[in-house]
Amino acid sequence: MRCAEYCEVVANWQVATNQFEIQLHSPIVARHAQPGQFVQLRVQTGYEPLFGRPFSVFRTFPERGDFSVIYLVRGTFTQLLAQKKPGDSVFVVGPLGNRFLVRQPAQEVQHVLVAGGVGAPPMYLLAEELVQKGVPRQQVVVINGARRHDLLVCQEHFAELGVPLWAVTEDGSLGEKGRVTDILKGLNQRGELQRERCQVYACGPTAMLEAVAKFAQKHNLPCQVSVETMMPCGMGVCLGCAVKVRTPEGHDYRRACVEGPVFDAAEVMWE
Amino acid sequence: MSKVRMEVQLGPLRLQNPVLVASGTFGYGSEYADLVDLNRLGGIMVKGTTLRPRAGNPMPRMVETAAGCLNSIGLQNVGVEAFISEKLPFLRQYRCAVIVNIAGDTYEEFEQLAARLDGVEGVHALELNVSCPNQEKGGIHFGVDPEATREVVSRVRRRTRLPLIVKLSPNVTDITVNARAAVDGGADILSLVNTFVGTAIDAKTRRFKLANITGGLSGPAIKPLALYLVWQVARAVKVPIIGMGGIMNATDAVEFLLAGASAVAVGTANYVNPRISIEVLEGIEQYLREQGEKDVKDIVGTVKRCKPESEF
Repeated sequence: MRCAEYCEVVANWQVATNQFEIQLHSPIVARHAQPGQFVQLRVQTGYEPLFGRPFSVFRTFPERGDFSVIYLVRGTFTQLLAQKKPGDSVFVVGPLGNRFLVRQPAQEVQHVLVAGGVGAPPMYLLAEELVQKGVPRQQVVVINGARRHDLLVCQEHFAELGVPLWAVTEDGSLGEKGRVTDILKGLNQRGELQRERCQVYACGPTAMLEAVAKFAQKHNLPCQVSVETMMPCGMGVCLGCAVKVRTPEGHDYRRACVEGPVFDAAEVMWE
Repeated sequence: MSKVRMEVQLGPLRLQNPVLVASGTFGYGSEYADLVDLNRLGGIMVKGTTLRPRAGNPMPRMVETAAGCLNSIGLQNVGVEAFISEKLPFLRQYRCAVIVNIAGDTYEEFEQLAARLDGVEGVHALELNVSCPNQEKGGIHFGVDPEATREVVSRVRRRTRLPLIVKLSPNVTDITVNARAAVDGGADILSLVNTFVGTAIDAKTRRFKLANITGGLSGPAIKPLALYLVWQVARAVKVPIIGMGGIMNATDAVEFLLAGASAVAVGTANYVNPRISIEVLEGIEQYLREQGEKDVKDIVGTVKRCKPESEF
């Protein structure tokens, strides 16, 4: 079940220097969105930019019929989005795409969630789902990274879940200094990764996903990545969001908006 | 509310209304079926179909430009056999026309595709893609060389009884030459325009934005160009025209009808708003009522010269 309609803005507020969270009223998205899925939003009235933009669903409030996404203001589209006030409307198509597949039996798996920058919101939705479904908090490990402290997203929300949480920034302005893979390596060296029953989930910039996928491959850990790519239609028809994957015959392209955005890291061909 | 007649007859092809969705912008219909009532569409022009499945071009394949987008998808598609066995059964449930866009690298491939689809239940017409700008060989070659256009159309004509639409490329010096060649070859209907060849460069990285360097430009940026070409072709040939190129709303669609198109196809706008085709259809009906028109065909090609402001 998905919608394509104007939805009322419930709230739109700044959560950090350049970060906003917008809450929209859409009972369909609120009820049906799963961790990893996204919505296409459109706020522009003219043709600049022409297409909507995809945003991962961050939080859902099914009883109120609301959901929210987090965005960084960095271009024309997000500047327009930041101007939206409660009572205004935003065109919403979604929820779209697939979801992270929780490795079963979930209670016995160590779930390692790796987030980079604005890749954090869907990881939060996944962490929240895991905790709500009764996975012991100690088994939900979150590594949240960004270049600088002001680009780190959802940190306090992860903290509220009470799960083991690492913040890591490249300039050391918040949490550990380094990259998410440094934390993964540290966990592994200290024997804190339960190699036999571990599942890695990652969302963030492509370079980070590739590094996490290679770490997982090296240590033989199952890994799912949610890719970041432009998505003109989000409906599976324009084929502009294709992701190159390995096939028995060589390679093929899969649509990030339908077969993705979540892929098995082992099948993605990084180049 | 008075009823407006929306049915159109394009040569041998009857459509319940003049609003189609353009090839490559609506998949195989199923992608949109939960949001769009396919029964209300005039027709669906399905994704360009080749003899064998194609993986398409490397990424990046699509880039947004000012009021438009460049694509170089490279005809990624499931191939004609999978289209018939996996995609067509779904489309047969609906009453809109199903138009199969076919693309080949050689005359023989076009002939084989036409022969394969001839008589297949649920296929209402073929659209010959002689204008895809993203294929190394074939594709656009058949569309820019008038002799090759005539040849490919006449060869296909001999292999099918289906209504034959030829999709023209705008990347030519005089489109009326190619339009006449297609008609001479046996085209029942012309559709135009396909995308305009263009490119985009990232000044910061000093690199092309598309892996394929060039792509086809679509979207509102091309509407004035497309509108002019439709008007030119409408005056040059007698066969009906399906007009397309940057239609974003009902007013844009009406302009194409006034310029001489008997039907229109909505393309890139489907990416912006999945429901736009129905909004265009309803908007055309409303326009006709407001204008006191009873039949959509009565406004086709009725555009008049600009009226000087001094004439009151």
